[in-house]
Amino acid sequence: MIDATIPCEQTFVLTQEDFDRFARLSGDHNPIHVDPEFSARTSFGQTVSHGMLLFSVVRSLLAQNWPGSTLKNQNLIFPAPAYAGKTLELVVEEQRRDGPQLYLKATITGPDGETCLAGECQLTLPAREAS
Amino acid sequence: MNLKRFDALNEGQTAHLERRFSATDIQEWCDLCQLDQAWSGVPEPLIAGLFSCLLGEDLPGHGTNYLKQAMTFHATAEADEPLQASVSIRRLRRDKALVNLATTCTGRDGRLICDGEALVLFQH
Repeated sequence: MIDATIPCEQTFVLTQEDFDRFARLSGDHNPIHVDPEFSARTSFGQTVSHGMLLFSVVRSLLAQNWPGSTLKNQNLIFPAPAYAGKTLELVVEEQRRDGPQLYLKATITGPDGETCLAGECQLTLPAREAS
Repeated sequence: MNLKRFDALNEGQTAHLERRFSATDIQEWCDLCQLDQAWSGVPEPLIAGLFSCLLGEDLPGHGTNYLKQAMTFHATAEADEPLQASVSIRRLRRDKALVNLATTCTGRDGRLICDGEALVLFQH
């Protein structure tokens, strides 16, 4: 459990329905995320993902790989927009480990190699069970 | 670069919102993430979403380009716990249309759930 395979990777596609669901959950109904007609007239040309929907994908991969761990710190940057219907790739790499503290780097890359999310986090791993 | 709305911002200006996440909301987040495990407490991206919501809808508001968010999680928010999120302008950099904000989420009796900083671009 603690020695999850690193780096771990996940390829995924978000849909407009995912953007709409995250808008309802977060209360963030900004038209750039939920209104395709409005978004077509912006410089993006179409709706873009909420940054925190991308963080949701990262967080759930962390939970799957390190069950029972606690997220202490998270830094995020959102250099490029992530669009619906495009294949995105998430890679999580280990930076260092200090006892139960695990320092990770996460990157979500879009179809043209653009970085949609880059983040660093500190996870506290659960105490090892006595064996 | 149109700075008309940027120039209406002031350091110290703050926006708040109050929210509770029900067990149903938390399950909906797990479903959205296709996560096949029970989640204890409120997932951190939903806490982060409160800041994103305030920044995009309220302060600075529509047209905000979210560049950066740093967060430290001090305690896990519980389902149905009343949460108050706030964003407060710390620094305005007019030459680059950048706004630095402090972001905080507290829970019942003011206990600290999360604090951190956001950086947004606000130009039109």
